[in-house]
Amino acid sequence: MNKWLLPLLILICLLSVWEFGVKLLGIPVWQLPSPSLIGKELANSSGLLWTHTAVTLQEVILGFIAALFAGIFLALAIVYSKILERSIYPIIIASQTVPIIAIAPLLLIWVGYGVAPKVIVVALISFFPITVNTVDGLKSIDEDKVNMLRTLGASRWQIFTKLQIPSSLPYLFSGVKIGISISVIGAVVGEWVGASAGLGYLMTYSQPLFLTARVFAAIFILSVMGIGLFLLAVLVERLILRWHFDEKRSKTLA
Amino acid sequence: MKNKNSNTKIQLKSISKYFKVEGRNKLVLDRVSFDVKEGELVGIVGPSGCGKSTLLNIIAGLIEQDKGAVKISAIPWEKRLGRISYMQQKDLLFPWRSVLDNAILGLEINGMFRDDARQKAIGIIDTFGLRGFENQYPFTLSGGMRQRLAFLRTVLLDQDILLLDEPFGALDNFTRVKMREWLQSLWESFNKTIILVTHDIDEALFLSDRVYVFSKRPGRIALEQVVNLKRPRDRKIVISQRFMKMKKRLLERLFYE
Repeated sequence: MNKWLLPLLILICLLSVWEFGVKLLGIPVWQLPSPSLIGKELANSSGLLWTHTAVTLQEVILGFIAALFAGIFLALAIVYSKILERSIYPIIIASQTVPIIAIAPLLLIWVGYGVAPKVIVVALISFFPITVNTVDGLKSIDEDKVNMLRTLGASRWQIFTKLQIPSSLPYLFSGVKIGISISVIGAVVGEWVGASAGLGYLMTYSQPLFLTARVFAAIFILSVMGIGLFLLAVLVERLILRWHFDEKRSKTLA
Repeated sequence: MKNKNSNTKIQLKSISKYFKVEGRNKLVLDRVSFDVKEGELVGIVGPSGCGKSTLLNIIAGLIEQDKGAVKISAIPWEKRLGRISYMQQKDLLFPWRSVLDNAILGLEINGMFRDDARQKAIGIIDTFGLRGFENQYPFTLSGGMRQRLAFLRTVLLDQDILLLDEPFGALDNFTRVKMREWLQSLWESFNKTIILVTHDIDEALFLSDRVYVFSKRPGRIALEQVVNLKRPRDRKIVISQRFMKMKKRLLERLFYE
């Protein structure tokens, strides 16, 4: 409980400065609404906000699942093929320098206005950390353990399933945690360039109307979504990799 | 000594091995020849880098020799990998598997159902001092227990031949002495043919029927010492006259160069 106290206090301080600062300086609501007003907006427009949240969440989840499969598949291909490692891997790394916001409008031209382009943007933004980390994990295999398995009569497939997969899981989860926290950004970017629903759409729609409190409400929900998804990934990680955390804890105590 | 027949189990004929170091071929094993009889325990001592581990890797089937021949009775040469038990200095336990599931790794690989394999492991887990730890993860074990678990994993497959590469090298001296006595009693009940590589002269003499001293790189046999001490050997044997005499001979040869 103690470790949450300090960040919570700081957050409360910041919110109070914001709340009273806005009132003292007489900043108009359309420029910067106070936190209490944003809270009111969250409550009053909950139905509307929820509709758009559901759309965005769906895009994020579909996109992330696609990123997960694509990321793992690419990592396996890169690790098991020298040719792919030399050809695809540099391209994948270079592709990350292309701003995703520049690709998003092209996707509209190619696959239309529906959910598909947003899912693709989410997948494009999230697969990279998953691929890179999984490649590292699959490569970090201990040769002595491989030889030990060989003396027990293990086939290549058995070495893969019994050693390589479990030992690369902690790396995969690092990639998943990064990927899932940036996936929300992907969905919003996808919605900004052209959509008829979703929190990103709601923001671009509300901003010219100076519904600033609603924009803030959307931002608030997006960050809650990001944090929630991240915590979900952490939870799954703890459940699957219990040995990993138990071991780490025992080492810090020793 | 225990009653053993004189069938030759392992026959090494003039084994040589080169390693590529900076583009040049370096000789690591130079025409090593010796026989191991069925049920015999042969020790190998030598300085670091004398090719002891390389020799075990060749016998186990992890690598091939460049010259010479190895014959192993009842096992075709090209199919020996997976049919000779091999334990290394590092325990190489899998942190994500429980103690029991680490032990049954070899059985599982060879197609035994997990439940049957677990039953088999539980049957002899007492001998290895791991009772009560079956469902723990390896990180909870002490160094000696980890090594015994690695041992259990190695012997559960029940192969005739056991290669041990400094099995107690990572342990403290006190634990090591206890482990070698434990290994002696285990060996007597298991009737296996063992080649034991070690740095520790006491350990080699205490456990072996014969000890070979290897020279510095390139490794070749510098000395053969037959250890005809009665079994089971007591821990005090290491300060007996006969033991000391043999140890002196080995030490002189080891530090001769």
